[in-house]
Amino acid sequence: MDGGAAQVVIILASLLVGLGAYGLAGSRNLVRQLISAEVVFNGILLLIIVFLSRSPIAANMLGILLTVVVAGEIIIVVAVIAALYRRIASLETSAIEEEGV
Amino acid sequence: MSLPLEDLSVVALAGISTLLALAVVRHKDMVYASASLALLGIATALLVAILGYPIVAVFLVIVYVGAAVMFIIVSVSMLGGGGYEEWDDYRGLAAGAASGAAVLMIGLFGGLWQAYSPPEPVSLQTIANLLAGDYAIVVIVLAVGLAATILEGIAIARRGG
Repeated sequence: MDGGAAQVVIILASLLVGLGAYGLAGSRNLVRQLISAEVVFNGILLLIIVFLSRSPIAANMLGILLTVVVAGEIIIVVAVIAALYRRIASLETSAIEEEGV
Repeated sequence: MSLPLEDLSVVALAGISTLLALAVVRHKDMVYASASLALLGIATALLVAILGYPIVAVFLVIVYVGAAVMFIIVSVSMLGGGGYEEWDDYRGLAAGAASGAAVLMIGLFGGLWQAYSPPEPVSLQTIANLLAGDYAIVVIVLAVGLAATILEGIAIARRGG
């Protein structure tokens, strides 16, 4: 793969970060915010993979470890979302503020 | 001028990924939005494989898509689809800020593509040796942290907040 394709990947990664930020900032639903944060993660992972191409071992290690950390983050956030839903029967941040959870 | 098949694949995957990311952010049904995230994860894994990191790509598909994102989809389905979604009044502002962030990132990092060179292939044996050797402490800390995370997640979900 040449540099032109790497350029496409960098533009895609930037778009993913922008779209994820839009979902995070524009929605009040916790599930939407979680999956938007995951879109940002996909973009950041692509950027790291491209920029660390000169040290492939570091890129491999960082890619693997980052994926594991994000999987752990998803477990915790989904558990919090399930607990909140059981308590206030809503996933809107405004409802959470009203309930004062 | 003809593009090699690999470059065409990257361009096609980039287009598909952008559409899937839009579906994740805008689809009204949370289950379908989460399913789009799973497909986006697979597209990202394909891109990572094309960039020269097949082991990371396999890891992404198995751990990220196969476990974590599936966990989101199942949980959202069990919560009844995530409920009604209310968008903020200032979502236009959010869209503008996000577009600005994307343009800024392209401006900051777009010129760095010249730093890219196809990586030397790294064998699975090398990665396994590194994880068991130089990165052993990191792996142990991560394993303990993940175990604690899983227990914490179960405790939070059982307590109900």
